Amino acid sequence: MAINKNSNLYTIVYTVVMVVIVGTLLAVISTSLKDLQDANVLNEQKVSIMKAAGNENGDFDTMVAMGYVDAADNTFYAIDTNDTVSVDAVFKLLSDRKALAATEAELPIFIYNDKAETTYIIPLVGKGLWGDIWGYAALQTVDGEIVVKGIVMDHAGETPGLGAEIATDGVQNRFVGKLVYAGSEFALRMQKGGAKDEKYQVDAITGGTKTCDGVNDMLRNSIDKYKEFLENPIIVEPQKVKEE
Amino acid sequence: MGMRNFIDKIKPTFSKGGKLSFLHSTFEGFETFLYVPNTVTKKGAHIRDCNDIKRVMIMVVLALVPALLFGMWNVGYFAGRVGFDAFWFGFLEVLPMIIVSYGVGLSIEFAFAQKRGHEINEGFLVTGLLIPMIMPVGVPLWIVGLSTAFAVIIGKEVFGGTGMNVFNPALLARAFAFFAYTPQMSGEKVWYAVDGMTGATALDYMSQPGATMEGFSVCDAFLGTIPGCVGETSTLAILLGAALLLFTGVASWRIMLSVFVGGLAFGYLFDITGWTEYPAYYHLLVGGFAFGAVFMATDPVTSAQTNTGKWIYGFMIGALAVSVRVLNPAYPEGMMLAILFMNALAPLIDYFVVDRSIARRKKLIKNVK
Amino acid sequence: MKLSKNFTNPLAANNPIIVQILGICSALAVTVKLEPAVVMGLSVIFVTAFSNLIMSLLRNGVPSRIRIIVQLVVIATLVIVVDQVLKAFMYDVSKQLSVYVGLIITNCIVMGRVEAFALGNKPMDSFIDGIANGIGYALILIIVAFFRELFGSGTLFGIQVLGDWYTPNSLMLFPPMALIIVGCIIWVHRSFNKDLQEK
Repeated sequence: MAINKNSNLYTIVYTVVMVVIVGTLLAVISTSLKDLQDANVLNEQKVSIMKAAGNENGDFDTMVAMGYVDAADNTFYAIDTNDTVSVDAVFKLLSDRKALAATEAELPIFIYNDKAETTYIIPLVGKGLWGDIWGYAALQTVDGEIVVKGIVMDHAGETPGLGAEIATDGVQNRFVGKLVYAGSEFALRMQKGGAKDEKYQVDAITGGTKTCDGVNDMLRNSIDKYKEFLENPIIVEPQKVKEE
Repeated sequence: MGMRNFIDKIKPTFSKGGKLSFLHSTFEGFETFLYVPNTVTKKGAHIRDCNDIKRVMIMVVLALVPALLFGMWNVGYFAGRVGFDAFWFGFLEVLPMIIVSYGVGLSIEFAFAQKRGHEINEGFLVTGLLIPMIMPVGVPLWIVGLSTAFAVIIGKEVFGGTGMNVFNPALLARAFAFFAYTPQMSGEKVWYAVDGMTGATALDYMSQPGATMEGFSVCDAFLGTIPGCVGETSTLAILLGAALLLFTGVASWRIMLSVFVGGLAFGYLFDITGWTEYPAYYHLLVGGFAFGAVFMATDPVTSAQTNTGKWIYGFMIGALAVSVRVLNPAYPEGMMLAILFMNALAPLIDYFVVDRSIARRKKLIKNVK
Repeated sequence: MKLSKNFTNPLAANNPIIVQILGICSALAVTVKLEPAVVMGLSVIFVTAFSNLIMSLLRNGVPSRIRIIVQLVVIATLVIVVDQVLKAFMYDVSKQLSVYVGLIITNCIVMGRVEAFALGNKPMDSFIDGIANGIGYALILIIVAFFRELFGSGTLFGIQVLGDWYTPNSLMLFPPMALIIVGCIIWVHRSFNKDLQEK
């Protein structure tokens, strides 16, 4: 009996079978690879944080403490690294740039302890010329001044060769050693035409002025939130986990 | 006449069958440069005029001279010299750019013409002078050369040579240089020939939102004593050139006028909506606006051909140039982009003008019947 | 004999990009550097070959009314698989390719070959045709990426090749330059293959 391939019944059956097969196949692949994929994203975030702190190949899990700064009492509450739920929540917040920009009360922060110097790594988020820009700033307190230990930046769609250069080591290394605040004023910036005051300023990117303006806004908006904490860091002992 | 006789004597060597016949195009190029060719059409009715393409091109070159001379003096002026000293300094700075532009461009054109067996066309006579005049004086010579090569190969030869190009080749050279080597073409060091002197151009000031004309008076801008590209600063010198072009009928007054009108109209719009703080006519005095309107937009090959088309084409150039300048922070110079864009649209404009004219006439015939 | 012609034609004489003029968009987007271009090329080879194979196997059973939809489903599934695998095993590269992997679905070459070849030919032939078209596409991508990375960044595969004396040509990093390079390749190609020149 020859099946009429153009009959309605045949077409419908064919479609259903096809959808079932394809759906199952994709679902299987997606779930089996999901862990690997999530691990990749997580790893990238950790590497960025370590890179900002100056130790790109270091082991995040043993060297970095993470948690929130409570803006109300300027206290850092650590998260127990075994508490996977909270750890995941922090990294999820880092990926959600809109939410990250909006956080005011509980600010995510990472603390890197190495040879008795404490580096605070805070997430940055802002807007470039064509899309989002983000990154991590590693800050230290030296002689009462907040100093940049390192910075890592990335972007969604800045112009290659111009604004996109913020993601390169060349530009990022300019920030090392710069002071953030002149007294109580936020002074760290990329200066068009070349840094005028070498203590606080770095050269902007020629041809990428708007992106650099975005970077300046990003630095000020993101770092200002942590200002009071950084001036007087109160750290709750890491063993204590913040009560929900 | 000694030269005429000499040329006639050596002509057979370069013609078919002669020893150097493969260099025919080169020979022909030089011959027609010196003498108007006396080949005539055999069929149809044509007006005989001694004004052929070469003569027209030379007229444009002459019209460019005031702006060029002033530009050279201006370079010296901003390097701290005065008077003739300033001119001589500028002359020495600009001359290498002109040599590179002509050298590179003409070699490529000759090579292509030889390979294809065509005659040399004199279109590059003007382009070769325009290119250095729309570049800032501090730009490295190799960039001038590379941009010229790009403009001639991709902008002209690929399309079939002089008269076939869609885009204005001089602007293509500028656009190439601007996008390929932005740090070397803009910023603050490039407007001065002397190391250590920096400063923004008036355009840089104007592109900040809410800007006023800081530091440059209107008189300065009109005369041209402001920093900028070699040929484009002096509106006065450009107008002198424009007068020559209009008097000899070489350039279209329609295009020039409509570019200015378009620029003024949109400049006014931005002024009254508060987007900018300076009056509309500033746009005409600053940057490449006047230069583009007179020398680039009017290029007969790349502009619209119909009269109505020319009005539309010119108006849109002026409007676009001002809009790009004001609205887009990444491109302080909008004229180059506006003209290139309208170059692409010019055939379309002509098509619609002709189409509507045909439709109108069809209707007339119907009514008569 | 038929096999070898199926394989060699798409490499040059019937190259998908420079003769059939298909798949230009991704050629512009991913050729800024060589590494993503190579990965993209391999992905397209994989997708084109296997969608050709699968559609050829199915060709006698597909109801003609939903033919295009079935093709789309097959191609889309293959592309999603590629995308997922890249995200899991080659994360850095997948970030550079980002949306363009998904756009393989819209790459005219894949659909074009399925329609033009797979539906009317045997599975093995179709598979070879798919591979060959993919390779033809990848070849052009690599040539374009070679020039763009070399002149745009001074590097090849990320390794600095041109020294400090070289000022990078930023225009090379923009898509229009890629199109111009493809145009130049076509120019050279047709100078040698005069029969391809249109009158």
